[in-house]
Amino acid sequence: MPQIEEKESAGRRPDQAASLVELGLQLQRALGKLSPDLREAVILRDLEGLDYREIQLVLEVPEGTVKSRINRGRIELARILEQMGVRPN
Amino acid sequence: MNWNCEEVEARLSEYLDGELSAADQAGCAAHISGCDRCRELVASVRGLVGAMHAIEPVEIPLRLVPAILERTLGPKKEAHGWRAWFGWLRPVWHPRFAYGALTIILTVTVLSQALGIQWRKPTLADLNPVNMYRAVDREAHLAYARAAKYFGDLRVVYEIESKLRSVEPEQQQKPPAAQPNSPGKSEGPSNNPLDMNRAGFGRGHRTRLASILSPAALRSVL
Repeated sequence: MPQIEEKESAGRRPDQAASLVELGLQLQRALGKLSPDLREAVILRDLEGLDYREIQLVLEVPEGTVKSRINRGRIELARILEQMGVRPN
Repeated sequence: MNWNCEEVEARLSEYLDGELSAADQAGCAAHISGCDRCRELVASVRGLVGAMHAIEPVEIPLRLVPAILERTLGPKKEAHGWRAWFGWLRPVWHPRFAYGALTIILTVTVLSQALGIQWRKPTLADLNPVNMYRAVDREAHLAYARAAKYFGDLRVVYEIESKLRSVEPEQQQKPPAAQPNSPGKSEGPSNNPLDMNRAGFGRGHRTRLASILSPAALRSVL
């Protein structure tokens, strides 16, 4: 009887890709609920991948403010996602 | 430094990003491992950061750039006259597209010519591969025959011309009295370049050619 060979794909499985897309949409909605200052700090750090120094140059604010905004933004975002029933692993 | 929950919450991102000094990193980790509330907070934020790093970059909507320009530079000026009528052509109103379209038209024309497709009377038989092959074969043979004939003719012309050149010195030696009937006009060819285009030039050459190229001479050339 022929057997179907299972092979591991180098990329993501379709279900994983779909859940990531769904997570991305929920993140977009959650980011929309953040205040603009916190939102731009979090986007620059976690979505654009800039480091603290680069964010400081972009936003033209002191380093302490950058750290504070990123930290508050992340905690607030995690809280909003939890309220939406989303818990990213 | 003794870490408490407020300290951990205030510097959580620095801890996760490795921005703390080694001593602070260790102190923070020690507090987190012993505090359920902080452990849960760290897990939640760490999961969020990991998820944000994992998701694909968002695709930019098509209308985003025009919308930003409209908000920053103000609304676009309305087009009037023929610009308003042909405004929808603006995206393809570019030399690149014009060249592309011209190339496609030329290619289709050449291909259809080679494949023997009659656009005035299109038939289904034109699309038959056998007919296409025959048409291409016929066109290729015709082109070859035309080229062969052209070069053959060229050879004959050169032969005649060289004959003419070899005879010309003899003609020049003859006295001019043998030539025209009319006193004013010379019938034969003159060396003046302005006379080269006149009808007399052709006629003179023709008569001379006829005298030089007897049927026997022609046979020898051909």
